[in-house]
Amino acid sequence: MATNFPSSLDSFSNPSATDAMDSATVPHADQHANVNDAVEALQAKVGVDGSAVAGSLDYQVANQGLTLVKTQTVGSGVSSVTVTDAFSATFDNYEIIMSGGTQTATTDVKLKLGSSSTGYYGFLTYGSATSSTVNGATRNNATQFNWVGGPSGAGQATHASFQLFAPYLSMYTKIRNAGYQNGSNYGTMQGEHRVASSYTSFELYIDTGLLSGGAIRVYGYNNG
Amino acid sequence: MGTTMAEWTREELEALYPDGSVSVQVDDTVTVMSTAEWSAWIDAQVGTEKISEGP
Repeated sequence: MATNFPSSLDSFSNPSATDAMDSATVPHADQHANVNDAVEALQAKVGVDGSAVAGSLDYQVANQGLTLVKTQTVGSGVSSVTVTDAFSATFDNYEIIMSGGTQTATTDVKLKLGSSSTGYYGFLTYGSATSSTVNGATRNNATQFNWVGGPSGAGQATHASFQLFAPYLSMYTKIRNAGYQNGSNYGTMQGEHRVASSYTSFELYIDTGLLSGGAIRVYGYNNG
Repeated sequence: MGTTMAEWTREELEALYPDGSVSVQVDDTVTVMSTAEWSAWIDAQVGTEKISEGP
């Protein structure tokens, strides 16, 4: 039989120790031919290095949009979490998500790049679930990015989510679409860090209360 | 004038987060704050609003 892979999985008949080379049910030559066909089908599915075949795994891995760089579990009762080796030359831009944990106080989650405590600029557009009024808040050369996440309330689920552009490159780092929440206030922050340095790590923290549980996941955008 | 009921006092914060219960994390390493670090962390929260839903 020729291989059915990759349309379906093969089910080969194994020979026994007493089968003759010219067995009518498991001819020796057919055994080799079946395995050869199956190996060739596997190679075609995996693809060669730098494969241009869109259906090959090599092509799909090389061209996927997001790659998980790192997952960092958040401990119990911590005021800050520093994630090292998050940024590198492999990716220019990143998506960072924290979820699955809680925080003990109702306050927004903040962000620093490396150990930098200067040059953070941003604008928050936000509103309350109880009002249609749109509000704004600013940070002008602050010591951190504010408003990159937050909880539903004290003791409840928290999160952080934002995109970082070029944190590893020695240029200003842009932050986009930071998902702010503080209780019933929701918003989005855009900004930049006006320090032209390369960073490999970042710190998420709250200045009131503690974080517990969940995980921080760092994804890299394929440079293409 | 005393502190309003809506703001944290040092006594309340110390009861809620006693010395030795607050840590910082770097990757998988969680380190308990020293007493001096913890005291400064408490001080930074004294006078902040207990419920502050705005930015």
